[in-house]
Amino acid sequence: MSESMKPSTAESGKAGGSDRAQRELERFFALAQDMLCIAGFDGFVRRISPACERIFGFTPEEVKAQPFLAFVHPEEHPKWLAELQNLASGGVSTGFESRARCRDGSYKWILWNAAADMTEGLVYAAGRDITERKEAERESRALLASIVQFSHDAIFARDLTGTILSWNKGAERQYGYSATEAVGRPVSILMPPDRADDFAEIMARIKRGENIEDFETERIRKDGRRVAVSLTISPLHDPEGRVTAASSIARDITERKRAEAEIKKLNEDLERRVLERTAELAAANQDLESFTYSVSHDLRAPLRHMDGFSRILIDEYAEKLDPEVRGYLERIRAGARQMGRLVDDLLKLARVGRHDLAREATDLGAIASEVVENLKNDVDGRVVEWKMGELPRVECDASLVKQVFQNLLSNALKYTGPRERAVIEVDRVTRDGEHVLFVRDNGVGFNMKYADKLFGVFQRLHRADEFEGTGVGLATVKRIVDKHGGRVWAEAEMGKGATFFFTLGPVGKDGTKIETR
Amino acid sequence: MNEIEIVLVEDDGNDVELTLQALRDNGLVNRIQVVRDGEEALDFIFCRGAFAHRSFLIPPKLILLDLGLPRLDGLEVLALLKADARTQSVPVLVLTSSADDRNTLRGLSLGVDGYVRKPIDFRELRDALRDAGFAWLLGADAASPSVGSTPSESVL
Repeated sequence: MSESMKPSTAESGKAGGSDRAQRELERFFALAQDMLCIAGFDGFVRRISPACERIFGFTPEEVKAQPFLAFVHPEEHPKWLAELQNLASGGVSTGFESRARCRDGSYKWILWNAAADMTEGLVYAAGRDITERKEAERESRALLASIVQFSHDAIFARDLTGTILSWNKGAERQYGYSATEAVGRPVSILMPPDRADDFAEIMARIKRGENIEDFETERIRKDGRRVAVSLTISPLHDPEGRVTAASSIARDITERKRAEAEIKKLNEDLERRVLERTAELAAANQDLESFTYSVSHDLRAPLRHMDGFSRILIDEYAEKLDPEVRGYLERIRAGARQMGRLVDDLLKLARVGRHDLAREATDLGAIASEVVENLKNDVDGRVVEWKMGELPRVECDASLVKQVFQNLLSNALKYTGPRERAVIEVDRVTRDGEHVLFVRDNGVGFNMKYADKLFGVFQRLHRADEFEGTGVGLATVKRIVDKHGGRVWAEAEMGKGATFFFTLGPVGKDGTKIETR
Repeated sequence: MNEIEIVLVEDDGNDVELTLQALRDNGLVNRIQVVRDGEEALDFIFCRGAFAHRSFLIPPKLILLDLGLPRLDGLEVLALLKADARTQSVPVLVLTSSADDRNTLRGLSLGVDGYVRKPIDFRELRDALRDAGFAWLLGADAASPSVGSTPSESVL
């Protein structure tokens, strides 16, 4: 009994071997989904499994009745003959695809695997219906082909000598050559003279198996117009892995390049305009500076003269003058001096507006102390208690903040004049998580009803004969604080005193300033 | 012959009057030459032009210079005085109309010796001179301003 799977010679089931094994083989032969076939070198099928009827509609009897080539697509005959030669000389046949004619006249694709037994002189083959697969392959190839063909980008292939092998619709549109005009021509027809070097570089890299991506260059169309492109070129390999060709995808980037150039130009324009504007601003500032300087200079001269000559009159003719006349002269002098102070204060206010904020780490305590020391010179005969708290270091403009302290503290000093014992306090407090600085006095205070007038220019909440002043000091404080991005406000009670609060910009939780500039 | 010891360079008539008044009170008015602009000042100091007759042998001891002069401006006069070896060492006090004029003047870099506010207060003048190292110019008599006195002796 033979254990091998090789079927015994056909014609009739011989009673050799175990019945069960034989029946098993017969069942296998009958049930196999692939066609199992035994054929001779004379061109006739000896035996073929019933699968053939299922696959292409002929009964095994019908198949055996004719030479098997009758069932093979005529174009394939040479292939079959060659393959049979191969089998005859002892080779095996694997993956042999061929079209078989069906009963209804259509063709199906069959994949054959076969081997020959030369002692028997027979070919033993198994055939699989791969028509569906073939169809799917064909559809997929068709789809890919149409994707390439109709792609907006120019897609074409070239061989290693640079000859164009294929040319899609996108390439036709981009370069102006039809497919028939382009295929077979060298790819260098697309290169303008100044880009001729591209050819050698691209070919060298392709031959090395490199992928070229985003290669920006220029190409020239059939009509001579140049077009800016971004190239992606990939090597194509044969089944053995050798580079035999390259596919190119060329994207037209003319628009992009134009947009980039425009943006660059816009940026340059913008930069130039910023520079011009800055220069203009600097010039305007300078003009304003000279203007305010000469205006204040010229305004001071007549004031000086009024004050000076009145003083001479008072000094030289004291004894000869009525008290009333003296009084009038004093008032002339006082008027002139007040005007002088107004000019000075307005000049300072104007300067704050023009001053560029120069933030640096500043010890507020040191500044406040400095101002207090200077003010102590003006307190002859008065009892003044100065209470200085622990003031933080903050990022601010030191000279401007000094003016803030100067104005607030001299105000405090002024409005505590009527007090026997003036108490002036400088400290900080935390309100709603913010660090706030304040100057507090026990002076005459003011009516909170008029609080919104406090910081206006020339706005005063006391009569000139009660307390001298220009009404510009607090306006200057507000302008400086505003410039820092901070806030200033006051709380007061008539007859009890006033507290002026201010911040110097957005504050972090731990009291450090958040830099906004 | 009265030697001119102080040159006052000031164009504004009222300011001249007020300045002379202050200096008069301290006995200095006989030794003051008033010139009304920069050109005249240079002519006087260098003994040329209208002042060609003057002798250069003894230059003025003090120059009070206002800056707001017509034509040749005060800073240019200052620069010229400090550039010339013959006048370099003569103290020049610049007359300013306010305390903060000093901040805007380039005078310091040009070699000014001090600033005095207008109208001139004698104490301030004396202090400015002392700070510049020229206190001896005003002499012992000039310890305090006096009113309506006759010209008195001074080193000047």
